[in-house]
Amino acid sequence: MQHNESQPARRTVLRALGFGAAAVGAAPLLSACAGGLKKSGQSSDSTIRIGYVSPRTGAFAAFTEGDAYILEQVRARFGKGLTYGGKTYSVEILDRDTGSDPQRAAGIAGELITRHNVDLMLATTTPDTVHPVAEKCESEGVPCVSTIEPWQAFFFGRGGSATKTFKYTFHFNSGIEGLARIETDMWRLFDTNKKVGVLWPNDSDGAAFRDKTAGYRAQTGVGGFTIVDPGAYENGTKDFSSVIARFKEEGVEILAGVPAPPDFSTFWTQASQQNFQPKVATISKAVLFETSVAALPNGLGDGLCVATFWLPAFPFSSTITGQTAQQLADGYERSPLSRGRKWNQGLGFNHALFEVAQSVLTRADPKDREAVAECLSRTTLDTVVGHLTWQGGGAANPVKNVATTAGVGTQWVRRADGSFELKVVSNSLVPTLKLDGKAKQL
Amino acid sequence: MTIRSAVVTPGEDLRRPEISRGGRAAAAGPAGAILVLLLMACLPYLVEPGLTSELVTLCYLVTLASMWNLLAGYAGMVSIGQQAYIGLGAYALFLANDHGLDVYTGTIVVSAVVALVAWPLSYLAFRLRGGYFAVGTWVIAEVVRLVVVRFDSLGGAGGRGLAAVTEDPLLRRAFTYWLALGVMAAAVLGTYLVLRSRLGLDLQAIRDDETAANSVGVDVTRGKRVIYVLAAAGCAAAGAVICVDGLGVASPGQIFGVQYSALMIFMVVIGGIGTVEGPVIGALVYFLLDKYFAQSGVWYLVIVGAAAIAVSLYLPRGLWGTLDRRSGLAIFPVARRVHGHQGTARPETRT
Repeated sequence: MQHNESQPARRTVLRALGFGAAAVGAAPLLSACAGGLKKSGQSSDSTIRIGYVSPRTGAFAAFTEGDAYILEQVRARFGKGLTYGGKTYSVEILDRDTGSDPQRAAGIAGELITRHNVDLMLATTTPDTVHPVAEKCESEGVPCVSTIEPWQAFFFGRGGSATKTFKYTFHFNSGIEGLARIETDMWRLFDTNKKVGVLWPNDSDGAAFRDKTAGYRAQTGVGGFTIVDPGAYENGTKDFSSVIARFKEEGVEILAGVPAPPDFSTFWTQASQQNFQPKVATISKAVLFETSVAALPNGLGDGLCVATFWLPAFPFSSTITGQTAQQLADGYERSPLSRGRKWNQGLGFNHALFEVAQSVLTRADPKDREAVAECLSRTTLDTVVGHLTWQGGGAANPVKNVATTAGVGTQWVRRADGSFELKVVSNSLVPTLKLDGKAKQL
Repeated sequence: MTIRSAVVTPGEDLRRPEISRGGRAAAAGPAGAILVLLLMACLPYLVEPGLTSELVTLCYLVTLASMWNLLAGYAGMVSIGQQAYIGLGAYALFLANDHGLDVYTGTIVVSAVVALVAWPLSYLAFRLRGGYFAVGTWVIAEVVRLVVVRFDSLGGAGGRGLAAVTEDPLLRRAFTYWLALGVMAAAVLGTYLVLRSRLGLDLQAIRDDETAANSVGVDVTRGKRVIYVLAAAGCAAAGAVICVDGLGVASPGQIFGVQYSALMIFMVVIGGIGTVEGPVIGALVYFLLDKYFAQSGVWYLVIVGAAAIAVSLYLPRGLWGTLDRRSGLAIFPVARRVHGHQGTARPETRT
């Protein structure tokens, strides 16, 4: 029996080895087969195709609530076509939902590029959407503009450096430096012991904030404050007792961080139960929207501070519709497409993506991808989210592919009826914006 | 192997019925499948790259479904932690790529390496059974993820891109497609060959009753372990394909996400568990649902859920399982069938 079994086994092994060797040997041979490969159809027709990839469902859907309204507006404006060099092109916008899934975002980007030959790609909201789309675009040579992701994550997170920049992918958004500036401004509004407890989770945002060289502590405004970092916690943590104990032990009076909304809800509830009461809390990500603030139990959202990068009071207007920020927000809230929802920051930023698209597609040959990408790197535009520039360096253009935007410090204040109002309490980056009053202590 | 009935009508010729795996059909099915694969291999020369890049998705879906079917349908291991090996495959590819190996050869190396990792992990997982095994595999996947995100060179918690891939987009798309196709072919034909081997017979016995199989001399644990390791290697190859297709990993939470397990279960249940063809059909159904309904917002999930409920209520054997039972059709015949003296094959046994 033993003998019988061992014979075929050896033969099988040899056969498997043969197959393996053949497979390894075949790889370089394949390079020789490139001759007859079928190319994508050429898109030299008179229609410009713009791909718009956004997470309209899933975890990040709140940022793109305004998409239906924005797309209706933009399609109406682009319906007349865009003109470059005396030729008018009709415009087709292909909007796709990623379901907040990076895998699907990559698939969608691939499909838009290879099947629909898009001339320009737009992507929005979080590394999970922006990175897969941008990676595809960079490798396929399709110009891409993205937003709603801290620029450090977009640039350094994709392997950018002083020596390696990107040719086709461009981004506009604030970064950690802007956020730190706004948050520290708000801390200074209060008389504290300058001890800051931070909630930096073990995810891409937390890692970017914790980073020694480009993170939060490296920013100039943070000097003078003591950062108390209890360490990276996993998203979905249900017990923050040790973190709260640490903060209490260190006498923390300022709270900051980028927790996920459910985690902040857990933390903030437990902090209240365990009598941890900082004087000021500046929280990114978790309290961006009124719905998430109102969802905190017992009205605990009252007095939380957040850096805001777009709000209707901003003194900017759209280059597509001519509307001011206020008119854009009002128009959205009145439109049936808002389904009764309030404006949020995503509205301005996603609208601005199309402003950039309109600008470059009328200043460079829309059918020449290299020309469009090159034009993007020379673009300066005053959009509804403010002044964007991809040239000139400095704080507005820290690296080649990034344009930064400014923001203000805001505080959620609970009205008598239980709803929340966002008040501007600090405006050093947008001094033309009027303050809504003095910040109140928690 | 259960013989449900061996009907011999009285008065008829009582010669012993023949038992076979389908005779000539046994060769025709796989030969047809190989023909289809060869045709698919020519596609980059025949159609625009848009279609082939969509087929990459189909290829890795079929691979994943086949691997899960091998685990649950043949070896009775309901794992919801195969994403551990999908993620490891993708991340091991970064390591291979960083050390100068091209991503295509890298995929083969990576699946072998992950198989070696899965071997010791199987000792851990096999201490648990049934529902505990399922949860245990998930825990293993989470632990693997937590370990991987500790390495900054792998992008930490933020994911990373592949350092060196084929520059020319046209060549890269074709190579990626051939890689995905090769992995799929290896997964499906490999499953078929495993099931026709002696190990396949062991597995079918294990699936039907572990204790009984053990008592007739089947080495249950060995059989399961071999399958566990093979499935890990297959999932790792699929993970590497996903990584090559996406030019990297957008976030470790995604590549190590439990949604892959849900997806695999869905495809196998829809197509028909315990058949070689079922996962292929299931993957195709999911692929088409995804293609045509993914843009319908939340309705997409409603439609996918409704499809799963409908199939599990009305076609508990899945699409192929039902077809197979009604018509006796088999592209990859692994079941032994009893032939009456008139030569009519009846799907009397299900193996």
